[in-house]
Amino acid sequence: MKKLLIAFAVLLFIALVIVTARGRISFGGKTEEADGEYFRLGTIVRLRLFGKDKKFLEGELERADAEIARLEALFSANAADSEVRRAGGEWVRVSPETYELLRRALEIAEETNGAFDPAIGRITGLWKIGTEEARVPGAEEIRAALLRCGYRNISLKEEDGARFIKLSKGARIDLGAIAKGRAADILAKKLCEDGVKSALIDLGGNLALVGAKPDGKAWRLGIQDPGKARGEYFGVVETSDGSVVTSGPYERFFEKEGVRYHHIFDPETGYPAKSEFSSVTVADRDSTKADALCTAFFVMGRARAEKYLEKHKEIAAIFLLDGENRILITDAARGLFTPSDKSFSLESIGKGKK
Amino acid sequence: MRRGDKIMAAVTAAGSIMMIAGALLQQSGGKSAEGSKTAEILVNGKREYVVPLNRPRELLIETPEGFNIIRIDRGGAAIISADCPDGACMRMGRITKEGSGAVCLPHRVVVRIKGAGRGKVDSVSW
Repeated sequence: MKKLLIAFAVLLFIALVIVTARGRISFGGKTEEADGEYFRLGTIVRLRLFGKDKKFLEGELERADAEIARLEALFSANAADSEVRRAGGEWVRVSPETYELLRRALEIAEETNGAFDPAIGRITGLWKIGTEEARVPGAEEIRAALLRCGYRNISLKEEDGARFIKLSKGARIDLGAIAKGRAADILAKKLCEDGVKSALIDLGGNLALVGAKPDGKAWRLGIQDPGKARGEYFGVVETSDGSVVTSGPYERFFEKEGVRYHHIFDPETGYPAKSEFSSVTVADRDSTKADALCTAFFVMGRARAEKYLEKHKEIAAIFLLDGENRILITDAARGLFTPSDKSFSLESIGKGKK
Repeated sequence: MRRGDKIMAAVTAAGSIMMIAGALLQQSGGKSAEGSKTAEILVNGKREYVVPLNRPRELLIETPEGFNIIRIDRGGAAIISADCPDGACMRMGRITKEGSGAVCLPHRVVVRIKGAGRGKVDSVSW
């Protein structure tokens, strides 16, 4: 009897140790959360920081919001006095942040053969989708604006440690397809350097992570089902310390005479891109790259995206085909993604012909 | 000695049971309260209302930029009317999942579903 009792007690103790070791409970103090929502970067920003010291987290939250506001003032295509808007026909000195963002933007534009174009400002400025003044421009207006688009219209130079940008005559920068990603990267790095171990950064659906969840597990991030209400997802990406970005025509659009015009433009036509995809997601440690590639893949469409991915097998991407319950997934994304809606089929993309 | 051993073992067992029960309870996040989901309504980042989802009602939110009408019913919430320029908030539909939110950017209004239990995902990429 005595032995049995002792054995029972020992077993229970071992069970307790296992439960504790898995991080389900913590004897090192309760996990605190500081949570804030802000209207920045033309969208809703939600920051959730986790740790032991609530006061420290709240301070970090405030500093993070101030940092987003600072970056917005540099990168915005809408604020008249932003660095990006001040760029013109002469060399203009810019901050290291703006320079670096443009350098990355040009790199990705080159790599995607212009499917992602940071100099598409004249086109977005004509359509004004997402604003009160959204309209369908005339074909001639679009033709004229297209002649002022193209990433090669942006020039960068460094001189004695100072950084400068210049645009070809009449060109205009719009970093709407990359700035949120870059802001997320800067923010995640800053939080990390300040000692935040666990955080979820949500810049209007562009998600970036610092570390794992407070319980040590990977974050579970849903991917919006374009056909359903906000928050309904067709699959889940599980990851830590990375970024998940999604683009789709369902988010910003307006309708005129029964036709829907969305906000992702084809730099070749100047019209909203006609794509086989209703949603494109990229998961990458680099949110800047993930953000720009989502847009580029959407613009490329299936055939061009497939070719690109055959050469870049490291990219974790998930595509939803428009009007069909078919998901296309790269090999690199297979280990991260699980469909949650059983009616969706899963097929490979970017494998290449054998 | 034998009696002391027994008491010792019994105390260890009882203590362990209590701690494991506590740990599991904490882990479940208080599942008993899972049915009590609420909608949180934020205006310009500030929480203005927290309303239970099991009581049907319509709420008028007035901001300097304009108004939104939020309908709460059948365990969900939706922005059903607004005088914002693009109407994107109304197109977001009826939200029911914990953590999901409908947003009116021009009016800076957010409706978010909160619950006592944990959501199945930490956030949604859109």
